[in-house]
Amino acid sequence: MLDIVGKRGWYFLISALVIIPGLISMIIAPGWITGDSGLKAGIDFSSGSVMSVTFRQAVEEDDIQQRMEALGHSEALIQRIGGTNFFIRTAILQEAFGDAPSEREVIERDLEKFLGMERDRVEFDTVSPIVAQETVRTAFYALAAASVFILLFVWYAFRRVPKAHRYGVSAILALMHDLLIILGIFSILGRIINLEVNSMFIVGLLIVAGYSVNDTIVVFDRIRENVSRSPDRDLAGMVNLSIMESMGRSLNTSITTLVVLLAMLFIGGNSIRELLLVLAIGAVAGTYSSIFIASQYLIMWDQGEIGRFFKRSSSAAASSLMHLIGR
Amino acid sequence: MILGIAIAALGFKDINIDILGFPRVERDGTGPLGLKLGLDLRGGGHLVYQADTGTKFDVTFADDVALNDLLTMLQDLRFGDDDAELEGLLVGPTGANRYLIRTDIMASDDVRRTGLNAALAEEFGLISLFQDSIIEQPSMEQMQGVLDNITGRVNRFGTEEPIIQIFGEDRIIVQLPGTSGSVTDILLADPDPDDPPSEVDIATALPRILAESGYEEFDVETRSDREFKIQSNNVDAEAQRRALTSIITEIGQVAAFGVTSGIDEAKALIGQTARLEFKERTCENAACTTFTDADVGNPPLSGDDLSRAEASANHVGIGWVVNLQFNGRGSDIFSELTRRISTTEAQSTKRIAIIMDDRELLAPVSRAWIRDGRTQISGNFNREEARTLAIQIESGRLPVPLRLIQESDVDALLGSESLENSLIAGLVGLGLVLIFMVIYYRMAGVVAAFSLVFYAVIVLAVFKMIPITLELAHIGGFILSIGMAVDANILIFERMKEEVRIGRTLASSMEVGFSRAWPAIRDSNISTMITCLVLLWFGDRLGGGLVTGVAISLFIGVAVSMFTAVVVSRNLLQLMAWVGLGGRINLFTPENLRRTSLEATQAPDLRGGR
Repeated sequence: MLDIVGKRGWYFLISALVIIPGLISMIIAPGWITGDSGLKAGIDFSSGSVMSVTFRQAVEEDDIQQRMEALGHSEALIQRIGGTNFFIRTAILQEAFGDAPSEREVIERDLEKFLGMERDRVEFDTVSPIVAQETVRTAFYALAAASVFILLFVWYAFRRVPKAHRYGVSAILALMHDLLIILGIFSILGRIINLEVNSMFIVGLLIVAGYSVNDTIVVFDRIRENVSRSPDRDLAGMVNLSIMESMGRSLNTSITTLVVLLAMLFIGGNSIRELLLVLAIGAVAGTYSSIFIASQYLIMWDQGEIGRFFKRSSSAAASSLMHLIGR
Repeated sequence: MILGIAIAALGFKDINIDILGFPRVERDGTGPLGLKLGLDLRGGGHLVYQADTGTKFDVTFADDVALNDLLTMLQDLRFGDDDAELEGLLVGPTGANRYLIRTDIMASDDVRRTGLNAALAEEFGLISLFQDSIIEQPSMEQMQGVLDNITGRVNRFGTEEPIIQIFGEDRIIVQLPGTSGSVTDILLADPDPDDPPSEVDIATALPRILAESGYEEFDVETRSDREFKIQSNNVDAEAQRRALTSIITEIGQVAAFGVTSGIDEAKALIGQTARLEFKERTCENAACTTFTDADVGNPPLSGDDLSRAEASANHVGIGWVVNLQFNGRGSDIFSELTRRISTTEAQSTKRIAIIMDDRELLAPVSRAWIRDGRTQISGNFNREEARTLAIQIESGRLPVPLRLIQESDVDALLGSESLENSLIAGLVGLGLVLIFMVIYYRMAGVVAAFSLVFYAVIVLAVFKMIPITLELAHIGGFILSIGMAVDANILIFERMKEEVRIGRTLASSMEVGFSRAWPAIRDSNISTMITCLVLLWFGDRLGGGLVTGVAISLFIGVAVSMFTAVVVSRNLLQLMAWVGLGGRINLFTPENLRRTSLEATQAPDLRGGR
């Protein structure tokens, strides 16, 4: 049988290799002080500009979308409001600067030239965010509260095994691990390819949170069953056995989930790309963390390795990792 | 018995199909299968409101004055040496010979403002009441308040996902899913036997007339040979008039012609000004058809003095009631008012009028002297009425008047192509999953496939019944949840395989496999449901429609997947064992069966962790 438990330090290191760059990306300058965590707020969360325009001829949403993309406004949301009237939401448009005309000017000229927009009938103004920042805050408070309840529930559900609270804490750690990985990756991608965080991202985070613990408990259930069947064996052996036994299920479930997600990500439209990306990262991180983080943390706790690990480790990476886990 | 359960489970599917096919009364459910689709998929109504600034005159004439005469007079009115006219003029009746006249903002020494009273008196005679006031430009905070207010009104159940944005400084955009389009009901009059109309083929004439009149994307439903129901785009009054005229001249007399627009419902819910007033009503006859209303308190008692309004079941009687809670100042005024009008003799003539947007919501009689500002309005309301009233009363707290300046249908935010692509992608993904399941678990995989179909049908039915407004994100989430619903099946099948491996028969492996897998399925899904409930509780309290939407759909998905795995998959498997397939174990697993024994691994080296 594979000795998965014996190599547990490596798993934390692998996670750290993903999480730490993400955390750095979220903290480094311009950083938190200016509110820039690398997570780029999408059009849903930030104020924007709205143009209400009329065309002389029949136009389709896609035509306007193409022009807007050509002008570097792929974020534009375009809606027909009857006939040849359209409503175009964009990020805040730049004012004229020096010789450069304002972005509004550029867009109006372009749409007039290519699509026959009537320039004298343009209405232009700024709009407030579609999704209030408050909603995002709500989501995070709710997740924090949910973690407390889940911890209590797992504690209760595992009451027949010794030190049941440790299972609850480990499940929550796995959850935080998954969310940090997603936030980190999005922060980095936000800096590299300008990937934006929108309401879909929040939806995705909430779904991942719901399923992360689900996944962990399935593995824990196996540990619970094995431990109560032969309570005298040592925990590390039991955990290793349980992981091997539930490996088939863990892999099959994440494979089926990933297949659906990747199919939608590659074949489907761009519209829910962020959602699918969050879920795909979440599916992989969730499976990984239930096997390699939650269960291993259980053993480390059992064998008192956490304190020792802390004292011994001198490398910066390891200490910040433990700081992270220790919270 | 097992067969019975299986049939009952199948029956469940039938019931749900019935529900899916059930015609919905509301207009919203016009998406496929009657599902309610969100703004991004189907579009809806687009309303633009503007904060109504200006100068307001509240005028009551002693004599009869017709609106038309008043309007003409005001339009022609000129003031001073430079013939200044009233700009931005709007006139509306608010009672018997009482009118609200609104103009652009005028300073208090403006000759048009100071001279209006005299000019009106000269033309129409005695004026019994004349008040003028300025409605100021609202601050950004006030606009944010109005926005929260409207959000609360249109998103009552947290599943609507409207788009509401402040536009510029003083406008608000409201886009509501599914409120687009109009329904036109036409009832033709019975033909006059003495003068039968020329024979017309209504089936071809009606669509032609509608198209010529300006109806677009319409769908004619023939209910009888004289009765027609037409679903169409949002038709304006002009198109309706043209259609009616043409039908009368070309087809025959019309007994009834009515148009309801989805957008009208949205407008009624949002209200025009969200301004709420409480007044003391003195009735002049027993039925209180004529009355006079007077302000109470100074400044008058209004929505500002209210801290809470909510609906609850009536504890002492039947039906629902609306509970009001006034704040400190409101409680004092309300106490004084009810002391005065709750006496037995006052009850016959006095009422409390609750007025929103100059329109009466309620005029209850006061039964008791209410000293603590907590009062209950009972009136045989049903739950829905009580909730609507409570929402209207509570959200009337912010007195920034709004004016509707634009209304239209709005198309789906995402093209239909986007929806199609996502659906195709989802189906491809699901197909792959099912193929994988069948290859890996053989017959059990087929069972899982059936179970997933049940899952999909039931979830859609629940989405429809609540109803959840489906956006592309929900559909993506739904397709994903089908993938995840496989999980419970996989858990059961893996356990079954283990039991088969240690030499049990298939039938007993199924039983043991189920009971072994159950704690994991139960606990893992309960943990997800806990997350959902907490999200729901937060979303409901802090007004995050987004959070609520995710929580509800995820909860439904998990609950139903648990049900289908345990009830549907289990019974189908048992059914298979029962009909004799159970003897052929190799149909259920491609692996060569071998016995393995549980062996504990060596305890790993404690320090080998790094």
